[in-house]
Amino acid sequence: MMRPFIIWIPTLPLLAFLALIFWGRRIGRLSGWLSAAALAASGAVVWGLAPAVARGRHLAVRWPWLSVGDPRGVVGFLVDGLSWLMLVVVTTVGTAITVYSIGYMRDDPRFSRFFAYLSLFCASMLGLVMADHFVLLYACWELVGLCSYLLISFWFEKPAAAAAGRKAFLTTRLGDAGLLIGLLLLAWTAGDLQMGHLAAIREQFLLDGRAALLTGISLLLLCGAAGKSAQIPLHVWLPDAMEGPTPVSALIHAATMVAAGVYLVARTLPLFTPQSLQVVLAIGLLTHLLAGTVALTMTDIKRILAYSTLSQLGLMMTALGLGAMSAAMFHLFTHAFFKALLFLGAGSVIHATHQQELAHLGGLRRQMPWTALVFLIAALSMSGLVSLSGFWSKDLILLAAGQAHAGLLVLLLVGAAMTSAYVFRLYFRCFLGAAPQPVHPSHHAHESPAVMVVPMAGLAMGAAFVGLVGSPWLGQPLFRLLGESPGHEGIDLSVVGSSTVALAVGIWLAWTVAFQRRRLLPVSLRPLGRRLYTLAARKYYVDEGYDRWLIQPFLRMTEAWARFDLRVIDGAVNRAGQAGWALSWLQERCDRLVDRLVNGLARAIRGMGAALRWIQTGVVHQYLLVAVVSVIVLSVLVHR
Amino acid sequence: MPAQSLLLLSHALFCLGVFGMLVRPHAIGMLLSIELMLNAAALNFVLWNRLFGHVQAQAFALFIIALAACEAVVGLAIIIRLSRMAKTVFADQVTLLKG
Amino acid sequence: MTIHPIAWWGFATLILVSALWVVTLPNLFRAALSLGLVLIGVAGLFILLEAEFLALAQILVYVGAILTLVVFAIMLTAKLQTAPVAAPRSRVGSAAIASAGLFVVLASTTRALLGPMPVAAHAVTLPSLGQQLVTTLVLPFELISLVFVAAIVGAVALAAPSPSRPRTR
Repeated sequence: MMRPFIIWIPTLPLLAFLALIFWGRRIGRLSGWLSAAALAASGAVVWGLAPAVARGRHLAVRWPWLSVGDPRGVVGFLVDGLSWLMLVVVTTVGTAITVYSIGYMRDDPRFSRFFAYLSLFCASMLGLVMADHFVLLYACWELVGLCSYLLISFWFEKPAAAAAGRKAFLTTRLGDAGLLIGLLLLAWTAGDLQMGHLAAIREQFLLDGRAALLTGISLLLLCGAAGKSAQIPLHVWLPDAMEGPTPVSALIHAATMVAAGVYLVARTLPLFTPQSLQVVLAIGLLTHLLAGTVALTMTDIKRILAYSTLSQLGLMMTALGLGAMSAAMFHLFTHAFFKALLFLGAGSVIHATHQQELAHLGGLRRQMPWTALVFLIAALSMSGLVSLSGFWSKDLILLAAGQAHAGLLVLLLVGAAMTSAYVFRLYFRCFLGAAPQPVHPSHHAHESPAVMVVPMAGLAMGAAFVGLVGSPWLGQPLFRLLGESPGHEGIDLSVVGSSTVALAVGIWLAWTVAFQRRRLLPVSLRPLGRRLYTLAARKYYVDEGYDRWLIQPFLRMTEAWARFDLRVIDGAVNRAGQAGWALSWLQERCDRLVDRLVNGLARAIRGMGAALRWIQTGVVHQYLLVAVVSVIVLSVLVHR
Repeated sequence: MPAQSLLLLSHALFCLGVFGMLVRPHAIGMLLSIELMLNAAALNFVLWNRLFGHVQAQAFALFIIALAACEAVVGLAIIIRLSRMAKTVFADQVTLLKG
Repeated sequence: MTIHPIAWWGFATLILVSALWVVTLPNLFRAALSLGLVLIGVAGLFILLEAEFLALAQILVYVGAILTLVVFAIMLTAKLQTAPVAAPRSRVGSAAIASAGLFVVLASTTRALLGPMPVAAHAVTLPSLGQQLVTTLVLPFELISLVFVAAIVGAVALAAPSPSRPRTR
């Protein structure tokens, strides 16, 4: 049904962006509140749509875009269950983070511009999830990428931040190229880019026996998703993106933008054939496990959380690969809350102590009780403690994995153990234990201001309880929302039990590593262990590999092209210029020749005149002589 | 006595006058040569009268004499004026028309 | 009536020799006097040719007035003549050739008259001359008087000293 006012959902933050861009300086402190208000207003609209969406109604606004022979070129916004869920995530978590940023970015000279970018990001993210047509989706996709770049390199005075922004943009661009090709292929073969018609397209293709084409298209779309959601091999930008301000990491690189890839796959799931789903599963699983191992070795708070995000996204992709779209979206939903909360907590610590390295932190529970509390809640939720939101979503994924293959379940349990291990390692090292040597004045740290703590508390509530919408206790309304039926009834106790065991194992590991300082491995395995540890700590040398095998050759090729351009093309242009110069020189010589001819002619005439002038001697006798001779001559002639 | 010899005399006198005009550097010398030429013309007129009986010829000879007088007057006035201006009486030294 | 050849040739010789002196004598005064001889010789010829009035007019006007005038002019401009100057040789040569050529041309024009001198029907008398002057030739007659006036005015204008020049004392 047509509901034109849904257009306000992305428009309000967009207007905030425009206002802040032009008048942000003048507004000053109010910029943050303006941005938050715009987003909150959007959120209000979203929540206002809840009843209609819950009844299963789809709300849309459409307007014709390009009718180049294609009458179906209609672009619009659509709010169905899936997009509504994403809208809730973006507006709710986004508002919290925006308010938090007002405190976090208080001393920044470019305060208002930060919120302008933030608003633009929210507007484009909202547009992305509401897009009805792939072209609109792609436009918002790129816009989101742009905002990510702007925000990562917000402190562009730091060369690391500028480089990180560039890296993020280029890496996601690579994925976006695949996405574009996939969209073009789809447009060319199916002739239709309306997202509502995907199921019909799938049917048609399968009927025509063009399943391979479907696989190809879906894999290309996966490229774009893998880029945005930082799956292997396009994951390299996410850890570096931590150079940006922590609220940015929280919003964009934990809760929303990286979820866009998952959303895309979820939306286009009809286009995925079993073969491409296997690829999705493989990539997701690989990312989940490898990122988990790296997170265990990292020493920077934000890096740990970044790899954690990678790992969780891999988990979501795994769920999608198993075909469990609702499970994946549910996990995305809950992950947004607890991951954002983890980042905000980390931000709180960084804001208070100006430290990011674990070695310089410790025992902050005494000084920052609220931060410690919310951090604990988020950590427990992520690890999957029973009845917290993370538990419900992860449990569903484990169930789906167990249904598919037992080995898959085991792998995911290992991943769960790693998850709780690294997050609790972070918690223990940061908040418990003794304060580090007072080389760094972290014992001067204090709790963050209310403007930062209140949003965190709000998110903590979400991290704890929001998972209930997908739990059997409330009848799993989430599934009905997403248009799917719940795959099972009740709770599978074996899965619950094994996940709780994994959780406990992880916490025990973290405790041991953080406080016991006991060697875990037997002596014989220690060298191997050390080597594996180093491998993980060096992030599997992926960045180095890329640099050596991709970037350097590319740069050398561009240098060669540059040399070509300089020598050949510039040379040709210079030669042309020189030719012109030579031509003009030649012309000058010709001109001089002509001059000489003309002068010579004049001189000749003058010479002739001078030569003949001697006749005019002025002596009368001469004239008379000439007269007489003329008379003689004339008379002779007459006589003839 | 052949008639032509009479005419030849006037021819010769005229040519001597021309010669004098061409040779004499002095302006008055040139004037004298002009008088010779005029006389030759008058003589010629009279000869014609005598040979063929044209009576106007004598009148013309009279006219010639009268005109010779005018011409001599004007010519001498010019010579005197020129001598004042150019400080010389030699016509070949006055080259104002040169060029 | 025929002309005696001796008289004719005598006068002719006088005329030619004197004319030669006129054009060749370096001393201008002597050249002028030679001109007088030429004029007298021509007058003599006029008498031989039965043009007595003309002979008289010749002597009166030419010798008496014109020659006198010329001599006066010679005297007036004598101080400007430092020494008798002769013409350059080249000029003499080309002048001689030119005048000789002219003579040849003139002579060839009247070659047809190689026959003997015809006898005039009757001599021209003074009354007929006078009558000619006032009837047939009255126009030239009057014009000549105009020419006289012009000549006199012109001569005076030319020869008079210029009055506008401020006298510097």
